[in-house]
Amino acid sequence: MPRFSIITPVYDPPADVLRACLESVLAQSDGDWEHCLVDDGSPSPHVAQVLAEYAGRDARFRVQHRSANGGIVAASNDALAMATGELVAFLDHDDLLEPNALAAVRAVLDGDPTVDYVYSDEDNLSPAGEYITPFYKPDWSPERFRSQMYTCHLSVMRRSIVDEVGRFRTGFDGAQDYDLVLRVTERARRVHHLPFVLYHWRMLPTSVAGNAEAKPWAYEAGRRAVQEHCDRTGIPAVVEHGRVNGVYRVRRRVQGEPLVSVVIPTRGTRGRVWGVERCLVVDAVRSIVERSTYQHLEFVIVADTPTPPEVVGQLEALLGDRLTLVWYDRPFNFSEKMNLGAAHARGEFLLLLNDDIEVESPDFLDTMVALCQDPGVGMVGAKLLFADGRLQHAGHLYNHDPFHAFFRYHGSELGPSGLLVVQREVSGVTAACALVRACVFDEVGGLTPILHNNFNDVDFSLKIRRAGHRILWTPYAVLYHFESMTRAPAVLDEEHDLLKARWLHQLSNDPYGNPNLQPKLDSWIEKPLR
Amino acid sequence: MPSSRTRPESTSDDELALRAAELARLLLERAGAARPAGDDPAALAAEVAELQAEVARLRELVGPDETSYVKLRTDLWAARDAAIGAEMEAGQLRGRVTALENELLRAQRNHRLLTHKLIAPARRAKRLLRKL
Repeated sequence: MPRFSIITPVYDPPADVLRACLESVLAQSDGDWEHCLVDDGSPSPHVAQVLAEYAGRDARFRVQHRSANGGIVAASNDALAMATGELVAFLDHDDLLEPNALAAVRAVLDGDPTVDYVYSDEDNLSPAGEYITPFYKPDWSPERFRSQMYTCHLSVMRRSIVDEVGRFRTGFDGAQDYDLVLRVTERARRVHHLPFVLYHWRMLPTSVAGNAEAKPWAYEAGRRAVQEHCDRTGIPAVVEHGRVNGVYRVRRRVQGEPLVSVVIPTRGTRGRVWGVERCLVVDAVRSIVERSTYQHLEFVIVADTPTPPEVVGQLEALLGDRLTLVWYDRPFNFSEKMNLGAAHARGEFLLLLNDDIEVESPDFLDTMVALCQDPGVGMVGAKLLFADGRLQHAGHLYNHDPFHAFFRYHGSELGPSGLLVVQREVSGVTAACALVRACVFDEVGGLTPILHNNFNDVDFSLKIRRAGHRILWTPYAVLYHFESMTRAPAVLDEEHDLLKARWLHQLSNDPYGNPNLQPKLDSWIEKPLR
Repeated sequence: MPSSRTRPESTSDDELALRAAELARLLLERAGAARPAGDDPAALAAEVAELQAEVARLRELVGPDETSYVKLRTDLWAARDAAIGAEMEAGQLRGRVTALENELLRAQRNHRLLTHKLIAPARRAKRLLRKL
């Protein structure tokens, strides 16, 4: 019994393309495979000829012909029915495998028998025969997977689970693989990412790789697949189409109406924003009170003692009995102020917020609370924009140093493979606007007081992840952040050293980045020499 | 005709206070609270003493003042943070020790190789030359 069964439904590919595909299988350094090919009634006679030729050359090519065209789901299921291997790998009839693809997967599975699903990075094969647009993927990121089919190729999974979940389903043509992987990962014990380009996806005008508009029905099938996944797994959500094709928004519903404590440290600073002088904290609070659709809130304002009395008066007038005012009379220490505020908070969730914030999307708290109610999630971050609309925060990236991903890029930037328009797991988020479960805050001991000014949020995020909680970032909670109008943004060497003394390994191994990216950059640029 | 929100002129302050006390007593009874002392000075004194003792007991549990709980929470968080930080630093140091051990092993291996391949033949050659 071979270890790998390669599954390929075939429908009328050009002869040279099909040959290249089969040659890439023959060239595998790990020879423990069978290739299950199902010709789905191809009208061109060369398809049967090429398949027969290869079956004659090597008995590991097993070919079946359907009498009539049944579509990709039927053909793929026929190929799965032929499979005898422990693992199934999916290969389209016009794509190529890297020679060491199966060997790399074998190495993972031999090392950890609890892995049930393996996926790798991939790139595109242009019509000119060049390998272009590599997709360097994150490690397993379930929230991102609900937003887009990012694992795609190469995908290898245990045949037992594929059979258990009922193989491909009719009615999901075009997104049948997305639907299958959703169902498989619901049951998989472990999912592993191989950060190597092991699959080359050929760009043809008729394929999705070459033309995103090629199969419009596929996107609706994808949306239904995610909706059914949410229904099966008990995620209370409605799935909508996202900003671009193939991206979905899982719009979760808030369960109940938990109290959210908004914790804001301030010294009542005034600043000029959009040409107008304002008291930052008062306008931040006002924007939440007036714009937020989620209103089960209390506000814990941690005010430095020099905070002007008129600012306190304005806050009292705005908030009434929803205000808890805590005085702070020590030198500036952001962590200590946040911790002090959190100690006075009564809410199930804490919204850690800077005072130089303004709400842009009114449902930002509904979005963040609903995500944070997921039992595995410890903290949720928002999309923050500078006053000029550029990106201030789209999640952290720990690429040998902590970075804000795509810092100062255009606010409506999509990011590589839609990274900036999907809800996703991240290694950390900024404490300028972060919703954290109070019990998680308590569990990890809040923000570290030894980092007064910078990186306390990086440390906090890493503590949360170390405790086993996921951190999510959402592009659907948008706020303006007039960053560092209240203090100088300088970073001290001691702060760097302290952070590295605690988290050196984590800062160099971000599971939601990729080792193929150039170190010390925030923008997913691949290493020039690999 | 005065509105219901304005105080009637015929009612004195004492009468109002009595009515408020009566209302409070009724509310406490309805809420199942402890028996109110009423007008009995001895019972009142006993109740006050009882309540003071309860406050003292609670204060002992919480600390000397109401802010202690907050202080305790922040202290607990700082302690947790310090423990996590120390653990992480220890982890980094362990990693560094392992890396140094590996480097030492490599150096020892290189040294052995150098001795075996270069120094020993050179010594042999030197001995031969000396004999000649």
